[in-house]
Amino acid sequence: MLDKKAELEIFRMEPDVDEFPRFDTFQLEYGEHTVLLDLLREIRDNRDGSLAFRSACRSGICGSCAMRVNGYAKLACQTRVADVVGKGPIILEPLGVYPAIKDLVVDLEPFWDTHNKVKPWLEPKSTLPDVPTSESLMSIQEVDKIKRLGDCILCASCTSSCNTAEVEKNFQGPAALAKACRFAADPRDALGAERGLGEIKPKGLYWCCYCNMCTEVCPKDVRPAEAISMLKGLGFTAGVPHDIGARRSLTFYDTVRRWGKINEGTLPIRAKGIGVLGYFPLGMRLLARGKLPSPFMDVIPRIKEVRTVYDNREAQGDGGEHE
Amino acid sequence: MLSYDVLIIGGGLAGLRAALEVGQQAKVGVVTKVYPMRSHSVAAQGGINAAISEEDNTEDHIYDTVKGSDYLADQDAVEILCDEAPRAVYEMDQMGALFSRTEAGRIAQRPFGGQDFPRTCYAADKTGHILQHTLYEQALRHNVKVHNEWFVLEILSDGGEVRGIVALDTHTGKVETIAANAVIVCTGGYGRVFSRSTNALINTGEGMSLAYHAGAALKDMEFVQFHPTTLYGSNILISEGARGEGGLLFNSEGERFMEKYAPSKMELAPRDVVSRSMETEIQEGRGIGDGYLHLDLTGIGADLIGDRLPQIAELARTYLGVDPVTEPIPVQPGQHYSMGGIGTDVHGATEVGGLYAAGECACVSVHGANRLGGNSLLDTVVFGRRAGAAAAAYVKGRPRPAPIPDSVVQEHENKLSALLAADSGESFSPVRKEMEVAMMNGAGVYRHKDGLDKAIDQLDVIKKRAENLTVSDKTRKFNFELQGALEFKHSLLLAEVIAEGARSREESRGAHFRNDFPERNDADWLKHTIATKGEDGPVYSTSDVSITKHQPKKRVY
Ligand SMILES: Cc1cc2nc3c(=O)[nH]c(=O)nc-3n(C[C@H](O)[C@H](O)[C@H](O)COP(=O)(O)OP(=O)(O)OC[C@H]3O[C@@H](n4cnc5c(N)ncnc54)[C@H](O)[C@@H]3O)c2cc1C
Ligand code: SF4
Ligand code: SF4
Ligand code: FES
Repeated sequence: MLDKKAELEIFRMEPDVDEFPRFDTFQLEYGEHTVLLDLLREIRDNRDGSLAFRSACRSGICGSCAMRVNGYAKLACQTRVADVVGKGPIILEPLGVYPAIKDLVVDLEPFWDTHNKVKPWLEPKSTLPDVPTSESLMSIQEVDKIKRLGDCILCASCTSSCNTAEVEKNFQGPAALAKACRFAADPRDALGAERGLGEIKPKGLYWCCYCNMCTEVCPKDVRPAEAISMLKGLGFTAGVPHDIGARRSLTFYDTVRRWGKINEGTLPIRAKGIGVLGYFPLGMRLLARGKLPSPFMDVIPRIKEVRTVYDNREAQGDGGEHE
Repeated sequence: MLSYDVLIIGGGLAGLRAALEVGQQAKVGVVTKVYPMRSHSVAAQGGINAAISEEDNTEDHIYDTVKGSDYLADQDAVEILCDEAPRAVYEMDQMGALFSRTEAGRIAQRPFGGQDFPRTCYAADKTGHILQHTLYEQALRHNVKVHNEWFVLEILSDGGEVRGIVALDTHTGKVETIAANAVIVCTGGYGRVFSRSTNALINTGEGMSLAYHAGAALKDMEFVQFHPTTLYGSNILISEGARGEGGLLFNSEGERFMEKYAPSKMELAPRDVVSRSMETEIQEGRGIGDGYLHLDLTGIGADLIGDRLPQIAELARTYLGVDPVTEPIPVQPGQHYSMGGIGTDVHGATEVGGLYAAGECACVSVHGANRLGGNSLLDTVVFGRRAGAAAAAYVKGRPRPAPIPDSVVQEHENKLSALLAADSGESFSPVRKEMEVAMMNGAGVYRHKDGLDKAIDQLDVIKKRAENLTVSDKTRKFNFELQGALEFKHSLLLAEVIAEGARSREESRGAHFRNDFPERNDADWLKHTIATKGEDGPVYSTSDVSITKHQPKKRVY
C-alpha cells in the first residue's frame, strides 16, 4: 500500500549542456517496503524519462545503484524510503570523489583503476594444471577469516566517502585495500600483503587516516577499515614494510619498545630514510627556533611494563588480526 | 578501427569464462552493457552442481538432469555438462572462489530440488557473486580487454559468416563498430519479458534477438522456468537453498501442501512441480493475503541461517520486514530462467559461421523442459569454456577480420537520430508494462489455448504501438530511456516467439503446462521447437532430441 508521500530532491546535470547542476523536486507515494530505487524507477518510467541512474539487480548484490542519500552513500535499492524520510525532502546526489557525468551517474573509471592496481586476484602458488582433479583444501576457519571481505560488491560507496580519497586522488582507497587484504589473507595466494602498500602512485594503506567512514557506509558490512589494519599486520608478518608509512610504523614500534615513548627526532629520519635530507633546510630552521626535538632522550621509568606488553602481544602469534 | 579475433558479448559468467579460454590462444575482447560485476550472474544464490563427493557419481547427475528436463534435454550434451562439472568447480576453486567448506576442508555441498544427492556446491547463499568476482579477477589478471557500458545494437553477418558487431558506447553516446572473425553471445536471460521475475532490470534478452537477426535459430523458447519462492511483491529470489536447508511450504490452512503433489520429494521436487502446486493452492483459494504462501525457515535456527542463508535473511528483512528466523516468508512463483535460447551444438556453435552462444541465452540443450537448480551456473562455466575453445579454433589461421564499412555506422546513427527526433508517439515504458502483464497472464505457470490466443493478439497490438515510440531525453550520453526503448523492441520479439511456441506445443512437459493438454505427448512432441527469421517474422519448425541412455519414462517425484 502506497499510503505516504515523500518529496525527493534530485541532483540533475545534463552533460555538455548544463554548466551548473540543478535540483529537481518530485512528490511520490510510498509504502512500508518501498525502496528508493522504486521511486527512481517510477520517475523514469512515468514522470521524467531522462533521469539517469544506474541499476540492475534491484536486490543489493550488483553494486550499481550507490548514490548519496541525504549526504551519505547508500544503495538506492536497499534503502527503504521510510528509513530516510525526515522533515525536509530526501536529497539524492551522485557519489562523492568521482566526477559526476549525468544526474546520478558518476565516472567510475578512477575507482576501477585503483582497484585493478592492487592485483585484485588470486595469484596461485604454482601453475595450475590444465584439468584440475581436486580442490585445494581449506579449513572452515580459513574461509571464515576472509569471507566478510569476499562480500564486497564493488559499489564504491566506501571509496567515494573516504576522507583521504577526497584529497588524495592516488590513494588506493578502502574497496581496493579490502580486496587486497582478501587475497593477502588467502592461504592459496602467493603474492601476499605486497598488494596493499602501493608505490608512490597509487598511494597505499598507510595513507588511511582511520576515520572509519568506509566501514560506516558499506552496505555489505565488509568493514574495510578493519581490513586495512589486518593488511598492515599481514605486511609486517611477511616482512614487506618498505614504504614510508610502513617504516614510520616500524620506527614507532622500535622506539616505544626501546625508550617507552616516541622519539620525534628519529621518526622522520628512519621513516623517510635518506630522503629526509630533502627536509634539511626545514630542519635547520626548526632547530634554530628550538622546535626540533633532540634525537637523544631518556628511557621512561616503567619501561619494563611496556616491554611486557610487547612480549605478551607477540607471544600470541599475531597473524594480523588486530582488534 | 577496433578488431578482435573473437569478440564476446556479455561479461557475466559465461562471457568471462569464454574470454579466459580464448585469451590463451587468440585476441579477445568483451563488450558489455553494464560493468561485468553488475551482470545478473552475481545474483545467483544457491550453488553449482557437480558430483565431487566419493558417494556421488556423474551418472546420477546425468540421470537427475535428464529426468528433470522431462526428457527434452539432449542427452549427449547433458553427459558433457555432468562429466565436466567437477573440473569446472575445481577450476573455479583454484582461481580463487571462496566456496563454503566441510569439516574436512573440502567444498561444501547442499541438497537441491530434483536431485537424489546433495550435489550443489555453494558459497553460503552468494555463489553467483563469488564465482562472478573470481572470473572477473582472473580476467584482470590475464588482461582481458573489456568495453564497459557498451550496448550492442547489431551482430553483423554476411554470407552465413559473422563479421563483428555494432554498439552504442553509453559514455560518449557514439555508435562504434568492432570487427571480429567470431562472436560469442553470452547475454543471459530475458526475465523482464514477464511482469513477475526474479531477474535483474537489465535482463531484457537482446542477445537472443540479435543472434536471431544475424541468422541463428531460437530453440525451445516456450520453456520458461517459474521459481516457486520469490518474495511476495518484489519477486526477489529466495533460493532453493532455503528449502535445501530445511525450509517448508505452507498454505493458508497451515497445511504442508506439497504432500499432495510430490509425496516423496516434497518441497524439494523440481521447480516446475512446486510452482504449479503453489499456483494451484492459490487459485483454489488456499493462498494467504491476496495470493501468496508461506516459506517457513523457523525450524532451521538462527545460527544455520546466519551461516548458510545470510543473504536471503537480509533480503526478507529489507524487502518485506520479515525476520525468517522467527516468521515465515511470504512467497509466490515468478519467472526465473529461460531454458530456451540460441540453438547451439555442444561446442556452442550456431548455424552461422563464427557465431557462438553460451550461458543462459544459449540452448544446447542441457535443461530441456525444466532446469534443475544449480545446473545453470554449471552450464555457464562448462559451455562458456567450450564455446571459447571452439571459437579460438575457428579463428585460427584466418586473416584479420575485414574492416566494417562506415556506412554501417551511418545507418545506425540515422536510426538512433530518427528515434530521438520523433516528437509524437508513446513512451515505451507503459507499453512494455502491458507486454509483461500479457505474458504473465497468458504464458505463465499454467497455459491454455484461449489465454495464449489472447496474449498473442495483445502482442500484435503492442508491436504496432512499438513502431511509434518517442524518447523524451534527446541527448546521447547515458540515455537510459533510449536504451530502454531499444531493449523493449528486442523483448517483444522474444515474447512473440515464447507465446507462439507455447501455443503450438499441444502437450504438457516440464515447465510448459497446458490445461487443455495436461499430458506429455512423446509421439508428437518429443522435439525441440525452432524459430528462425523469415521474410515477415519468425518461421517455426522442429528438430530431434538426442537420446542416448535414458528412454523417456513417466516423471514422478
Ligand atoms: C536471482 C537468481 C538466482 C539464481 N541462482 C542460481 C543458482 O543458485 N544456481 C544456478 O545454477 N543458477 C542460478 N541462477 C541462474 C544463473 O544465475 C544464470 O542463468 C546465469 O548466471 C546466467 O549467466 P550468463 O553469463 O549467461 O548471463 P549474465 O550473468 O546475465 O550476463 C549477461 C551479460 O550480457 C551483457 N549483455 C546483455 N545484453 C547486452 C547488450 N545488448 N549489449 C552488451 N552486453 C549485453 C550484460 O551486460 C551481462 O554482462 C539464478 C538466477 C537468478 C535470476
Ligand atoms: S578509514 Fe581510511 S580508508 Fe576508510 S574512509 Fe577513513 S581514511 Fe578512508
Ligand atoms: S567495501 Fe563495501 S562500500 Fe566498499 S565497495 Fe565493497 S561493498 Fe561497497
Ligand atoms: S541495483 Fe544492484 S545493488 Fe542496487
